[in-house]
Amino acid sequence: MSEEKIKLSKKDRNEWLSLLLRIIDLCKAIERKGDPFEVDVKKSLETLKKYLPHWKFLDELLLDVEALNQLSLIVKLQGEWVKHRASSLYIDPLMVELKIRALAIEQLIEIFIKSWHPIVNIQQIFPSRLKKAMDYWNQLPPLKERFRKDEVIEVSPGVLSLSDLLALKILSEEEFFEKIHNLRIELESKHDGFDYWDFITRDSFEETVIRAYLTSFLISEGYARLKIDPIEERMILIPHKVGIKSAMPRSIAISLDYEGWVKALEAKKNVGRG
Amino acid sequence: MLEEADVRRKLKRAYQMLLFQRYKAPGVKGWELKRVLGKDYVKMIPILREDLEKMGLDLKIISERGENIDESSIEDLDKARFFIIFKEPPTQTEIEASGFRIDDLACLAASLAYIITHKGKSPRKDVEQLLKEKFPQWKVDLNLDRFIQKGYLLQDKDDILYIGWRTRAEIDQKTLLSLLLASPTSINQDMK
Repeated sequence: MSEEKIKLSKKDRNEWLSLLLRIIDLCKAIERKGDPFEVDVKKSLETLKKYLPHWKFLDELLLDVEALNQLSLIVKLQGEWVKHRASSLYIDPLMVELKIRALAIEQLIEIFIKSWHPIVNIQQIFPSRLKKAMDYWNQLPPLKERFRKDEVIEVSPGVLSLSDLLALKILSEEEFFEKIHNLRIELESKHDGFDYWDFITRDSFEETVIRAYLTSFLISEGYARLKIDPIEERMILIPHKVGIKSAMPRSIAISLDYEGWVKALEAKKNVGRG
Repeated sequence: MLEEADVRRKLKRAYQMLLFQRYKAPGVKGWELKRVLGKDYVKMIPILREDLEKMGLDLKIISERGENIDESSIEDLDKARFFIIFKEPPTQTEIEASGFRIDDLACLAASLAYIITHKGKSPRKDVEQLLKEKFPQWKVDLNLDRFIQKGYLLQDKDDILYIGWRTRAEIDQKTLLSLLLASPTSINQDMK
């Protein structure tokens, strides 16, 4: 009992722990190959018992459990060893090894054959299975079709014309002309025109895009004109009562993306508040 | 009369099951035979043996743990695997048709004898070392892998080789070792 009360120094503790590790390593080595009776199980167990009260930390206790587990495996191996020695199959391994090395290949084969009783089994294809296999073959597409990759053709950005939109059924002809008509009336309500961005910008991005598209159609058809003020950096949309096509038409690209729409919407709201 | 016909019909079905390889490994489980032969299938095992003996065959029963068992324990039999084997060792012609080259069989014989005497397990490198004395390394590797694949040997993650289920079913281990020790070697002959 007095031994249990001894306070361990750090050095002693490390030494004891390394002893545990040595027991574990020895057991593992014997397990792989070796005589299980080389391990002095009794002495090792006494060592574990002596050290157990001094372990404080979880890692130390886990190491103790591991050592105990390894020792129990050695006891199991010792049991198997005794059982094997007692069985009729026990023959000195060294003697057998020498015999194997000394025997000619033909002799080894002869011995083996005399103790061999091969398993008998049939591997047969039945007509029903064969029919299923034929059906499978018939419906199986050729390899080049099964492994064909989906081809993606890269297309550069283009312009969708009214006929394209009609063909894609995004718009119907009636709906389109009705929208154009309404937009014209709205545009004509102010003779001095609208700021382009104020005119097309609406509360949703989708609606803004549609109005931009329809407005470009009105300009192309001569029902409106775009006046650009480079000093104030403004574009004014001026209505025409009748369609007047310019003798020298010009193309102006106006980019409209989501971020541009957000900015335009904010600017419109600020102007409204002002 | 009817009862006898029923028994013959069930036995016929049992032979088909035993002979036909349905999965990767041949043979059937006891519970599969029970389904065909009925609850008292254990009583029919001697009839099966008798029929098979007439054709030079035998019924081998291997427990779930890979040990030879007899018909005494019904519980063990349910989980055991049943095989039909040759009653007598095969003839030279039969061996040639088995697909094994004669030197492959020598490799197998040496590996098994070595592992059996090492309590049924041995590190693969030790077996390789032994076989390399008489066969090139590539042949040793190829053969050991083939024996594992066929079930003659088992290998664990630590490269330890064990006796496989097929060895327990096909090889009379006691006879193998007895014959090995009894056979005259060149050393013995030199000593004479």
